Amino acid sequence: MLKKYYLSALALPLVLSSTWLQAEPDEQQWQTYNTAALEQQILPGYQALETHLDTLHERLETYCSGQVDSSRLSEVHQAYRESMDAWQAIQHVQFGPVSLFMRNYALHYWPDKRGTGARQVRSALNQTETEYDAEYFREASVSLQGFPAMERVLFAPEAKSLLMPGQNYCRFAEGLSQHMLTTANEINQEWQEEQKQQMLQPESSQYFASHKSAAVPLMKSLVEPLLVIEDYKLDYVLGDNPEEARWKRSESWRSGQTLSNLQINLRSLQQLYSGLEPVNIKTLLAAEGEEDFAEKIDRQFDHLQKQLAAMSPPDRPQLDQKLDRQLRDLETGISDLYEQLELAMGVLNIQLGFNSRDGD
Amino acid sequence: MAIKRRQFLTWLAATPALATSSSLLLAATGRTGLRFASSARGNDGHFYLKIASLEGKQLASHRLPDRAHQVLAHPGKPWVLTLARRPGTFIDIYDAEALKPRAQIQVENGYRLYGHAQISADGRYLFTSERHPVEPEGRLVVRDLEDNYRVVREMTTHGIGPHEFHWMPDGKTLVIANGGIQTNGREKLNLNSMQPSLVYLDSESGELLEKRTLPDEFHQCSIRHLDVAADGQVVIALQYQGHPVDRVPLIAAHRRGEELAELILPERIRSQLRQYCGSACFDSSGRFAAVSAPRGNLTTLWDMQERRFLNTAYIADGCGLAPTLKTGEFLVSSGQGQVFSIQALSEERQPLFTQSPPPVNWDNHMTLI
Repeated sequence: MLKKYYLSALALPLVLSSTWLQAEPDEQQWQTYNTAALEQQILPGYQALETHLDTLHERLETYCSGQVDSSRLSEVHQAYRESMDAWQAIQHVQFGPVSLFMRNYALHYWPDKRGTGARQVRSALNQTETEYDAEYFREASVSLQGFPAMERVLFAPEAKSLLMPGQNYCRFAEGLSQHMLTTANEINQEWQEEQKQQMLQPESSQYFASHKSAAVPLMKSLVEPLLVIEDYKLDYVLGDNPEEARWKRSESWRSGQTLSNLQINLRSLQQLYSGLEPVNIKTLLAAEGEEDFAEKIDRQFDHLQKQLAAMSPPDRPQLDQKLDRQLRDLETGISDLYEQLELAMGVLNIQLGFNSRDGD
Repeated sequence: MAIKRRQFLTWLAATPALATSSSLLLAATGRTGLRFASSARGNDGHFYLKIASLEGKQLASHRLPDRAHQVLAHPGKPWVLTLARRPGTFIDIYDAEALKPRAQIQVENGYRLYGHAQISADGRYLFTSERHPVEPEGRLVVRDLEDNYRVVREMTTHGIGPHEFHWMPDGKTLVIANGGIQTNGREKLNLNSMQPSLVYLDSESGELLEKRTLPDEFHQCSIRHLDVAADGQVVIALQYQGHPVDRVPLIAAHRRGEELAELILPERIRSQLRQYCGSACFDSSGRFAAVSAPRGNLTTLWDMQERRFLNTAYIADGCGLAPTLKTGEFLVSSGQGQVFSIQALSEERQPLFTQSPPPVNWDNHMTLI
């Protein structure tokens, strides 16, 4: 992964030598971009997460009250999936309130290469005397605090028989959904109250030194998640060859959302790239005289979405040959997109990190 | 575009705005004529030793063979020494008065630098932390600056992967951060068994005077950077090689004869540092310390007399640190090109370059000269 970080420095002159750099985006353009990103993606994204987690919590309470029959579990599943969709739509933002107190890991501790989630959820569900209250989850391991733990409980093969009123599965799931909702609410509030102002009015605090500086974490949110997708969401699942591929390593195989997670991730990144109004990265690149390059990146996003739309999740733990090949092709395309966006950062004179990426 | 970019390199031509900024900073530091030196990556992708005045005027831009790490001033001569970043092999000596290169030394065959050095108080001997071609334990290699940089002796650091080291106030004892990580190139080979240590050595005999380690559960906290106050207290920046969610020490302090002590960060701050601190230094008084965390974009500030957290300064990709002459004041350099002055006792943060910062990436360490 680190080697890729060198890319912009090494390859920049090759791509750009054919064009004449106009002045890089000015402060006002970055301010407009930051405002658009905040108002059109980040704030509504965290609001949606809170809203869907609120619905999940409500449906769990209703289901676990014993007043509805077990066929209504599908409504809980639906609320979980919508909450996960909302998280996937904003998961790429790894700065600000979500990075405080390990909230990002608490909401979604994945991949769990140490296998702690399975052990700890099993152990937690065996503690019949435990109160699964706010204090319990505040002190709990991150592998008990978020989506993966909830998915294990709600999508267990025997979930219908285990999710009984007053029993551990229900008590744990209700407590966990409340904890996740509280976390989402804290993130949402802190963005509204403090982080928004720090980003949009850098002169008002000793935080970002300029609008351009405030755009840097947004640019990291656009570019770096592609490495996460490539390394964890794809490579970790696929291994070096089809024999090593394990679908059960994928992000959301229990709830059947592994592929839709990728679609949502890429949709959000493409919004940061070309979907914001009135300014986005594509328009900023075009303003630098890089219209063709800007269009090529947008087409790459479209291409990846088409690749994903043609895939179907497997119904067995093993990937079939077709899906294996499709995912490996997707991985290559993600890698290409990452490289293109790194070059785009060079065009815009944005430094995503030097010591922070490759210090010593 | 390449031409346009190069035009930015004329940041050495100080504008009136820069002059205003520097006046403020000079007033704050109470000293004119201060210069800082640091290695940096230029926007052409090459690596340089840069020397600049605090007025924001570039005085030297000296091309280096590869990426460098520590830059240090000779105590008696106007020389700036730049060390290759691990696993590099060059030691560059630049005359900061004549503004001319003086020499470039290569380490012995098979040896590799770890990026740090010190010079004896009499100015004669250069000590560098190096990887031995065969033995896992690191070495301090001693060269005679008055005899054609001849290697006069080497001594074990009693640990793997020595990184930064400093003189203790007696001018005879060296305190060494053994990072604990065995490497091949930049590949880390022993993360499961690594055992970092803080070691005090007699610089003449090589005798081991004291060795401290963290508790076993924190064996993946690599001890990498440190500084020493005039009263002998050591401040230490750690880099954790384990999982991002583990709660581990990231900053520590030490005095001879005591155990290593974690400096306690508020969890709100600790959780943002991404398990990585990049540089540590004391202020001119020795009472305050700064520890940078470039991955968290924060530099933490400490009262070292009370070993108490004071505050943080937000410095994006900030890593290089140097004290000014003013109590509690530090310079912090950023990978994004800016250099700031920050205060231990206030949230004041002043950019050195008030207009666009120079188009360089300042590297891990900086020094005043």
